[in-house]
Amino acid sequence: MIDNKYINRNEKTASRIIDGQAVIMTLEDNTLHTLNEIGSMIWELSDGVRSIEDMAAIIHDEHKMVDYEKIRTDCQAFVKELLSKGMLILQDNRTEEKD
Amino acid sequence: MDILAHTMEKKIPFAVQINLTRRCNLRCIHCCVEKRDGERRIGKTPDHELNLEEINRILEQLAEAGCLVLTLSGGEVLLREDLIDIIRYARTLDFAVKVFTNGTLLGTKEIDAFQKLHLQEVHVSLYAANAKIHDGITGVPGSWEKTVKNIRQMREKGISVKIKCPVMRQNIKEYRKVYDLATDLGAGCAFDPVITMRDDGNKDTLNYRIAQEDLQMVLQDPVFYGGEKGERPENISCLITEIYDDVLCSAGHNICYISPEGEVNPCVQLPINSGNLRDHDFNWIWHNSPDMLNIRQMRMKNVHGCKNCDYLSWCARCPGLAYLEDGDLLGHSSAACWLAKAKGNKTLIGG
Repeated sequence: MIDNKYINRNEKTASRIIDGQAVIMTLEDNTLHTLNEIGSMIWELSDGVRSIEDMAAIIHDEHKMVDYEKIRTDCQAFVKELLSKGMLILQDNRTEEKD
Repeated sequence: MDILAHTMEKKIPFAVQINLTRRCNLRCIHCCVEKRDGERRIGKTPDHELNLEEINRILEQLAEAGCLVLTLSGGEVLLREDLIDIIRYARTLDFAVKVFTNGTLLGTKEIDAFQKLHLQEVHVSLYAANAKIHDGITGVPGSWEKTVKNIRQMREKGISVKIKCPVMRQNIKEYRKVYDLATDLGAGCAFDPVITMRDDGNKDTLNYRIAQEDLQMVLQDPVFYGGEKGERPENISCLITEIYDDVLCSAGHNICYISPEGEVNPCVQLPINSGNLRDHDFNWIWHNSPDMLNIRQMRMKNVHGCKNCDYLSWCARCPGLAYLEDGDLLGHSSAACWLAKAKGNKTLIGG
């Protein structure tokens, strides 16, 4: 079910990429979260335009040695974790890309 | 990655406070902002304040530098007619935005915008649960009623609010009632006994600090630390110095302050003008200003006159207060001594 959705950042967050790592504050509980390199990549790709499959394909392009299916499964688990923490949301419709 | 340790080590300005104006509609007796009649009027933005275009450019530079937590304060920040535009742009740049206000000038438009823009927190100054005492401190009758009404409206909209209550001779009997009122309103609260001198060097405000015996009493009160469930804060400056290579505090390491006129200081409490954003971009000042580089080199071992003090283990020395009140960043701090003695005596006499 999650595979058919577009992943976007929750508006109730603030974030910054610091030395390649995403630092995210969930504004409802004032909690800071720091993501690792791949997590940060997923965060940056969470723009309402991409699905988990899209994200996995982009990450696979940069990490060819890892099996695509393994990346997709890991991506799915990670997105679920960020959803549970209120950092991401799921959209039925794709956000229009900005020029 | 421990982000605070990382930003301290790498000198990334993780949290920045911008005071957008010195103007205010209240006349609080203890206010540290210099009293210049022309600047305290309500009205058109004075020419010397950063304008919206300048502020937006500064916000872009701060985001680029790694700042995440942005505090907007004053004066009374709601006197900036472009406040919502500033917050909106800051949120577009993905800052976590805090607003410090006296709460009196908030209308439905501002409260709706705060809700929609998802502020991290709104800090509101409230000095008493009793309107007469609060208004006596602000100098403006009716201010308590407006402030409390607007806190209530913000809470109804789900906006996170923290009441900030400096504890002075005038309101020492009120702080527990403020805590109860905050609880009733669903707001957090924080108390602070340290009244600072005015930024023009006038020390009259220090007369409002509570007596030493009263300080000892409040420091034993769990309500003072946020209630029974609240945790007593550790000696923050000691923790910082232990963890981060014995530095004085985080000023100029991962925090800084920007004045309404664009001056960059290492901290809001440390008025060392390290450069003006009208002359240089933020990155240049942050990495090249001699004053900023100088403060980064200072270590606790450079502090003089305190090594043999009996109260050293209770001391939470703020270099800014030492500089402001006693004229020496690395010297004795009257404010720190006052607090350390109250904490130490409380422990020594088994309080």
